[in-house]
Order: sequence, then C-alpha cells, then structure tokens
Amino acid sequence: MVLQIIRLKSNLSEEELIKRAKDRAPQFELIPGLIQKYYSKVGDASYAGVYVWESKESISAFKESELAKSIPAAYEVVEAPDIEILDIMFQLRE
Amino acid sequence: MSASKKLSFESYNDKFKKDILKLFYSNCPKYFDPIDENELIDFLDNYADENYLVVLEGDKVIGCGGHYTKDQKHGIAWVFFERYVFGQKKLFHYADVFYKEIERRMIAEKRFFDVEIHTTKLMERFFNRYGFRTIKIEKDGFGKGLHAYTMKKPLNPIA
Repeated sequence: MVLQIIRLKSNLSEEELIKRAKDRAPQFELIPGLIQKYYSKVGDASYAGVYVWESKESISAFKESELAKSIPAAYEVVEAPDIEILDIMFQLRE
Repeated sequence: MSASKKLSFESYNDKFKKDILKLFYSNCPKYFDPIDENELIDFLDNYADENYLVVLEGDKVIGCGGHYTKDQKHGIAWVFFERYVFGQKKLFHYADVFYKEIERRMIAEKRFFDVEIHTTKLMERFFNRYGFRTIKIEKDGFGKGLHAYTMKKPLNPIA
C-alpha cells in the first residue's frame, strides 16, 4: 500500500470546497486501486487529500486521468499543489 | 539586515528600460554575458507584455522577470535582481515573493502546464528552491564552458 498526500491552497470558501469535493466524490469512488481517500484541512485555505492506494502503479494510472488533471481548477488553487508519497511498511490493525 | 519593504509589481513599459538595463549590468559577467544586452533590449522592445513584471521596492526598481506560455508550456524569462544591494537573506525573501507572484499569475490563467526554464549551473539550486528539477544539461549550451540547464516544475503535479 502507498499513501499519497496532496496539499493545496484554495481560493474557495471552506463550504464551497466541501461542496465541490462531495460532488466529485462519486468519480473518485470509481478509481481502480484507490482504497480510501481522506479529505483534510491543514489550516486557513489549506487542505490535503490523503489517498491510500494499492500500489504506485495505481497512482501512475490515476495521473493519466482527466480527473487528476481537473483537480487544480476544480478547487481553484492559488499555487501549485504539493505532493508527498509514502510507502506503508506495515499497519497496526488488519 | 535592514527590514524588508513591501514589494509591488508593475507590468513592463518603456519608462523602466533604463533601470532594467542597469540591473542587467550589475549581473554581468557572473550571471549574464554583456553581449546578451542586445538580446535583452530586443526582448524589452518587442516581446515584453503584461506578464513581464518590474519589481519595485517603494519606487525603486530592484528586479524584473515574467512568464510566457507557448506550445502548452509556461516559461520564465529574463529574471534578475540588482546585485550587491541586498544581503542574501533579503534577496532570497524578495525572490520568494516574486516567484510566488509569477506562479500566481500563471495559475490565474487556469492553464496548468509544466513550467520549463533554461538556466545555468549557477542558478540550479536557486530554482530547486521553488520545486524545479533539472531534466537536461546541454554541454556548452550557452557558450564554451557554460552548460545550459533545462529545469521543469509541473503546475499540476497530480497529473
């Protein structure tokens, strides 16, 4: 499993950002290899999507999708998003 | 270090030409070859548009640079600050503010292309600071002994 953290700063109000995220959620539910996604707030106008993927190959396939291309515009980012990818070594609970 | 003053940005017009050339000379010969002056003048006279910005500290011109978009790529051209005037810490602070402004303007166009720049080894670490990575080194690309570094930063690293 792989953890991907996408941090972004948005021009949207929190309420509007949540609305857009919920509107888009059904499309994310269909992404192959995406086990879970957590929608997180980092600070003022700063948010993070925390993705749990089956593998790096799943991330590579997602990168080619229109959905991935649409993220900055959908959330009206004000600077380039930041990405961190972490290999999960093991997990506490099954 | 003296306190940093608030910066402002104005699109280039002819009234700034003399000041920009002065900044250019302050960067010769370490960062630019003086023979590049004609190329810079040609750029200022014929290509600098509203995206080419002059950096002002109060009413003093201290830097310049800007972006362009071509063939589904953004580029950054003719970026420099006045040398020998600011300490490194203040210069880096001003450069950070200026780079953010350039990136903000690229993003405001809602075209999330990669940003590609052509620079030298001297500036590689500087641009690493803003997330650029070197993708190509062309030996002697800018003249004998001056290798051309192509660096890239995706505005949408998700895709």
